Amino acid sequence: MVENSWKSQFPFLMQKKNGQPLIYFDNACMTPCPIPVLEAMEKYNKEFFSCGGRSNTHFGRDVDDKVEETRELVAKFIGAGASQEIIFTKNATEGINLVARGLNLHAGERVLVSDREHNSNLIVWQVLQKERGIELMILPSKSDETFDLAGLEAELQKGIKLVSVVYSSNLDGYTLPVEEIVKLARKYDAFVMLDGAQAVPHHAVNVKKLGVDFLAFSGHKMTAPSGIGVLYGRLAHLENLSSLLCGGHSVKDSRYNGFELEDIPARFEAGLQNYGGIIGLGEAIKFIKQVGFDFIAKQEFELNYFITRELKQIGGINFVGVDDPKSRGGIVNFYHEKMDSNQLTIFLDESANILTRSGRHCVHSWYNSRGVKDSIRISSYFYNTIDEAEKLISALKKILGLV
Amino acid sequence: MICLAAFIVFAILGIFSATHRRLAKQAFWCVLRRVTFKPCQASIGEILKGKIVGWLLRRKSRWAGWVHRYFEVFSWIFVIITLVSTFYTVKGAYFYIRYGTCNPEHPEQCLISTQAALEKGVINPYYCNDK
Repeated sequence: MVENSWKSQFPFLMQKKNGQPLIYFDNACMTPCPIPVLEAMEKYNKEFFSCGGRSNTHFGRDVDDKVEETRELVAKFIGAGASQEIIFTKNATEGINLVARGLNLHAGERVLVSDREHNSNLIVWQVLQKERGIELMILPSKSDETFDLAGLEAELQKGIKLVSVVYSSNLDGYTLPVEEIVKLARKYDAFVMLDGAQAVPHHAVNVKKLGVDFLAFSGHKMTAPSGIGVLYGRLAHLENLSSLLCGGHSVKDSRYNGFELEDIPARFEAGLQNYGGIIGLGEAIKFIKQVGFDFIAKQEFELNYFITRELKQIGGINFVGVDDPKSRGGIVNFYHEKMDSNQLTIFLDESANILTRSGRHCVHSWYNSRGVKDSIRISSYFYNTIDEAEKLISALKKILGLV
Repeated sequence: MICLAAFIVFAILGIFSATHRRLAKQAFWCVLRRVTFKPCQASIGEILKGKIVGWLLRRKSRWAGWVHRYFEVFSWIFVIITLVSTFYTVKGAYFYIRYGTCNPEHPEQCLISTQAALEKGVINPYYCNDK
């Protein structure tokens, strides 16, 4: 096990409660910001706080420079062809909604999603089913909870306009075979959109190599602040995409009887932007690059392997999703036969200062289809250590000893 | 059942504090779900239980198991105590407003009796003086 000192870079993680250090295992929900991110945002707020894109002051130009610098950083980080292909959004949900509503799908056109989609990549399609009469296909997983490529091809043969799937699942950390999915979709002329919220923070993503059409992700799962996200779209597709929001900064000119849209990406970024958040995202990317995806993957796998192995020795535990820790990134999701998941989470918090997540993790549809009430999710990131995992297992054993 | 007791306590505290009003609202929804035989979700009841058992797990783990197992029984006892004490508090408040003392039969035993009530001596609130 490679120990690390990254935790000390996160003031939030250095807190104590009742003399116990904070152990944070809810990284699939959101991650705290490290010092460089916090300092960059503080610098913006203290030193060059200004309106971007419209202010002819040196502060305004500083903001514009930083925003465009971050746009280029993001583009390089995910292997996009040009920085115009990067649209800043509030989060992955907004990015997915932008594409879903902006593609102008018509009645009868078919959209395919997997059966493990976060509500952010399910509800909008159900709404469009009602509003526009599109057809929504839910592709079931195979019996081992992995993605069914043969099933996808069968559906593509029937005609699919867009395949919109999660890249790595927040349910169990399983990464879908996206390369094969994109190849198949290309074969049948379907667009592909990936919900990359759980993928981009954990492993290297290259949209150009993948050949994906759209990719949405959030900053708050990759050590950036909440309220900032990214939508990547191929330039050719963005030209034909309608905006989700219109207003200031999204037009070059307006008259009482019309308007002229701004160039891409400005036309999709109406209103004043979250400049502090964008600057924070830029710093977060630099920070993650410094940590390195090799280290992140190694750390997450070792933690996942250890936690899974230890949990298997405790009776009454059922795992959610795929079985092999190698396929689960940093996520271990389970429920206990006798202890309520919500109660277990509260006990871990109150007795050991260990933060986990309980519930249905915004994948209610999966839980309802399997008749599982809820579960407790442990999600690690590069700053978690084996020592923390040992404390987690020890606390779990103590709590589960109550039943 | 702890949510019922929590609702009563937080509803009273909520008169003076917005924070407790929010807790009272949570407790109310939990009570509502309980009376309609639906399980409470991550409710105030679970949070209170988590705080109590979590505290015991840190200090006296043997007791934690016991409290965890019989939490519903303790909750009922607490609810009854809360209801009884609330009844006597309301009754005392009524007597104080009506007679200037929370204990009309023995005003000297009530710490907040008015001077007039103490001078008047023993008052029987149940005595009817109509002739």
